[in-house]
Amino acid sequence: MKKIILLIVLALLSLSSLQAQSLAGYKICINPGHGGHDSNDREIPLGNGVTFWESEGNLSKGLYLKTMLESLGATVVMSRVTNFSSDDLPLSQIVAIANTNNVDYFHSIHSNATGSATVKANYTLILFQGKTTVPTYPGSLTMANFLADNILKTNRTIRKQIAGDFDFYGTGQAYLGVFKGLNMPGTLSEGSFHDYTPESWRLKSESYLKHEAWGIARSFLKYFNGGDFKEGIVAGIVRDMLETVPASYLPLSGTSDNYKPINNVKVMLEPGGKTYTGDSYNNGYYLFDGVTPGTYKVIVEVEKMRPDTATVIVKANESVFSDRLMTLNPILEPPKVVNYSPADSVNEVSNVAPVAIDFDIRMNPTETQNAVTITPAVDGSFKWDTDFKKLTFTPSKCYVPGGRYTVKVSTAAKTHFGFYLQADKSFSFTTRSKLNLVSIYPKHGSTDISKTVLVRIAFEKGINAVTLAQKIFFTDSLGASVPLTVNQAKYSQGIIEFEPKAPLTPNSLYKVVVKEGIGDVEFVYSPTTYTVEYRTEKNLTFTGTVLEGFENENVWQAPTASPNTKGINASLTSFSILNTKPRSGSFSGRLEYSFSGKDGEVEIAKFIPISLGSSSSAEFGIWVFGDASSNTLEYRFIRENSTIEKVKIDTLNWTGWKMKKISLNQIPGNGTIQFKSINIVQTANGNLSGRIYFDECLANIITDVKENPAIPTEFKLEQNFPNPFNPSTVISYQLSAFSHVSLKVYDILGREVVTLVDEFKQPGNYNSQFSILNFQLTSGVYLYRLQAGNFVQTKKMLLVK
Amino acid sequence: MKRLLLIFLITAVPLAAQKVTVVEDAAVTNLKDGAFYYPSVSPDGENLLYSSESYKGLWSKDLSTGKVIKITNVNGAGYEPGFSSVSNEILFREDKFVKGKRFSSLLSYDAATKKAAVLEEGIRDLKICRDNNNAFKNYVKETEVRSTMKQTMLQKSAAPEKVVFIQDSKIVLSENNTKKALQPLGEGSYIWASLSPDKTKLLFTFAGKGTYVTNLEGTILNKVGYANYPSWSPDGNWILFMKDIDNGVNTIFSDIHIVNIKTGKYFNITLQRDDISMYPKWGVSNSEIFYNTDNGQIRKIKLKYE
Repeated sequence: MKKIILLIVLALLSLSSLQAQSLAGYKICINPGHGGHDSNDREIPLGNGVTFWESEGNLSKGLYLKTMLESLGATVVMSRVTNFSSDDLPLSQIVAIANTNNVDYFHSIHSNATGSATVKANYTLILFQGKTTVPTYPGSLTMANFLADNILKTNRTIRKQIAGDFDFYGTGQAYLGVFKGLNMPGTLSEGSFHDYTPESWRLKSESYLKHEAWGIARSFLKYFNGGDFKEGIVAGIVRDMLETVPASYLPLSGTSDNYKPINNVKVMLEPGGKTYTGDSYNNGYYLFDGVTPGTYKVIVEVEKMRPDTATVIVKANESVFSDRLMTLNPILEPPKVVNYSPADSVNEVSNVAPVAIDFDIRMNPTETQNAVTITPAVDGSFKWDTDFKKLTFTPSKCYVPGGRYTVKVSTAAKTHFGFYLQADKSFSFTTRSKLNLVSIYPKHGSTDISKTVLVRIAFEKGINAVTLAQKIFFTDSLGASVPLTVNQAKYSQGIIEFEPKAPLTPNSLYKVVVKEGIGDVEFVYSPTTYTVEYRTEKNLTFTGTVLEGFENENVWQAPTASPNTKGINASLTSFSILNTKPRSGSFSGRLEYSFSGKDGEVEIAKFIPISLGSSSSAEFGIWVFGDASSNTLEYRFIRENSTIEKVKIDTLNWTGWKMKKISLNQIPGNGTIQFKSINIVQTANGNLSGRIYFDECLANIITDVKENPAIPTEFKLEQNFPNPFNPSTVISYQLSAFSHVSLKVYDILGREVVTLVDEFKQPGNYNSQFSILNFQLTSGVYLYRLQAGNFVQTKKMLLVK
Repeated sequence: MKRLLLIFLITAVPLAAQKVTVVEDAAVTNLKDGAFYYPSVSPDGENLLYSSESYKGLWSKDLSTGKVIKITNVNGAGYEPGFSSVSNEILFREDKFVKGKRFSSLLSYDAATKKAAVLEEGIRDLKICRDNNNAFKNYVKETEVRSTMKQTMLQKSAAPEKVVFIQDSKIVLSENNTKKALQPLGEGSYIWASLSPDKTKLLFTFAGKGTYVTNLEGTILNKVGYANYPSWSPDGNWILFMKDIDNGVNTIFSDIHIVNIKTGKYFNITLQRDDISMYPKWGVSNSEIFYNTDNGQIRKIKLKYE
């Protein structure tokens, strides 16, 4: 009898130990992947200022998981618990955190992306180190299978996949840095795809993220033989049966993602009286966790929708789903036009502006569309929003400039429920009549303009390139055209930018003429001719010790990784070393920045600051190709006591290369000085974005001023610029006396390619452009020969195709 | 006296150095023999230990003869192994995962007999405490610091030396098993902590915030900056570290640097190489550094201080 009792007790103990869930004594490292909205982060803009950042989703999942695991008695080591740029730890530090804490298991949390705008996917992927069938640590494969099963169940993706990184990336060796050097088993979960738009919105739901954390927690319990959760989960998505998501979402077949989720849903679970209120992130998601197993009713209430009820059976350690498709309550009243655009009687409306009409009730699309007229008649097309409350007319060609149009919605407009508009609704608008100039740089009458100035003419609308022929002239003081490089990429922004192919003559007058008749993309034209005359800077030379040549990107910290960078759009802010605009050497640094609001700042910091010595009259400076943005250029210095000194160098009110320097005496503080960073600080009237180039940090600068001789004192043939070249280059020469000038190009065998100049010329400085576009020339060395009176000189140039 | 003078010269020259030149950067292992990582040299400079990328296995190379011995193939063996003071004994760990739980054994390898012996098994939180010159004297077993002074014999009494290790992401300084937890920069993850050769200063990395030197009270003396896997030079005047940059997926660039903590002078000593250079450790003098490339070659740098 005693034996039987003992067996019963042992059996009960065994049963209870199987069911009790515990991770007591286990140590787990959780790495919420990425961090801090920097260049290593992944951003999915979702419109109207809403963005999904992978770092945020990963962190939420990680923090929920931490709470769950700790409630089971586990010790959890987190690689991060906040989401600042400094939380984007180097991979070596993440690995070191796991190793130094002797954890039993390491797991890194992520979401995935196809990176394609057109190819969409949504599956669960679990990675680990090793071959797929031969992991570095066997435990990784075991856990990967548990994770794939459980996350597939919570996230309801299309499928699951597990893979070793040797195979997945096809390298045959360790690939993922987060596993390199781990001395314990580890996995990385890509729970779902954050660039699949329906999933992007779901990942904005804290409940959805928490549900994935439950899936990971269940996996840990199974991996460590820790038993099962005693409670279950009820979850689902509430959608509108009559509305579909925008086609741009590319909903995957076999899913219900084509139906539009409903925001701010109210879901109740009975018995128990639990209520869930959904968010406004277009996911319709709801979740009840910690639910005791049993049978429940899910009751959904949505304004203007018919109430909905479903029955679910909750099981321990499992998730049960109840997705709901809601239908509208009939609205037995006539519709109203609640909004429209353009506004009534407004002028200067875009000549391609769509006409939009908002109704308060879902409409019958065919009959309502037939009830809308525009006078005078315009060709175009109608489109309804997915809720059939908003009708948009888009003209297929531009309105007539300065035309007055009237839109009328007649009483034939009818709701989905059969009720008609009670009175006609009309509104009128007048389109733009002329293209207005916004700004020109340089300003008329300005002086001290860089020899490499970037001329910028900004109109209010995108420019129609066809209308620019013979409309813009850039000439020197003698009326000769200045050879130009034009940036056509900005025509769509209404900006015409060009710069001289070779540096302009110092201290000389130049003229830019923008003639009337330039047209924009809406076929509206500028009625005004603008003339700008300006003088270039004096002939200054700056010599000194080159401390940094902007030839190597690795010595600069990316602006998005700098702790002092703030208020920016990270995806539009970058610093690169490029060969597109070197002032000297082969490369220069290009900063592109975009401020997101007010008080923004971008920092490009040297990983290793540059020692400049101590306070003295010696000067330190950097060649800066400004962007005329009106933001502030600052340099930052480190004093001996480690204090950071911010020094305003100038307002960015120029374009072209300029030496921006400072005397070391002007830097506040005492002791040794190190140059740390270049900072662009946003000003109240500054542009929200810009592009600035940097080249050569100089110390011990000697400035030399040379006056331009009014008339050259000698004949001279300059080296062509650029050289090597393709397809064109500029040859400059100077004449000290009135002469007959012959400038010819020959190939290396001495055969004449072209005569560029063959005429008498006054004394002065001249530029001549040579383009290969009209010739069939091969790469190689070519010669150009200047003969002016008795002066003859020949130089080489290199064509590289 | 001659030895004292020599020591003085070795230490004095680097301290005053204005310029550091890489005299040689040579391969120690050949990639065709395998991929090896995490080099650490014996206190007498005669042997070099290294492991695989996942710390599985441990190899010893005689730097005079070039002879390589594979000591073991067990998991975790390459994670912070140590030498006895006479270099003929190597202490390392073996990690086993039983139902997911890590149990570590402390093992000793006798170079003379080429035999390994288990000193203790079933340790849940083992840390081998190495001196700056990779000599072991203590280990930490589940927060208790123990001495291994007598080679292969474990001394169960409290270790008298100052020892530093990481416990619960905090820096723990222990002397006579009196422990003091330090968080010089507040809550967060502290890694790569070590005592200076004269045991008066701490060097550590605060994850995401940089590498620092403090006194033993945790008062910051130097901010080294972005400097991973840092270590003290034999004379305590220089810090060696790697500056590794990744794209969130894998490391795309890494160089080895040294910085003089008194003058602040930095030198990138692998600037001329295109390899991803990582996990550097000093040799027995300031003039020798060992490191591994990302693809698993151990290399040795010779430096000249002027």
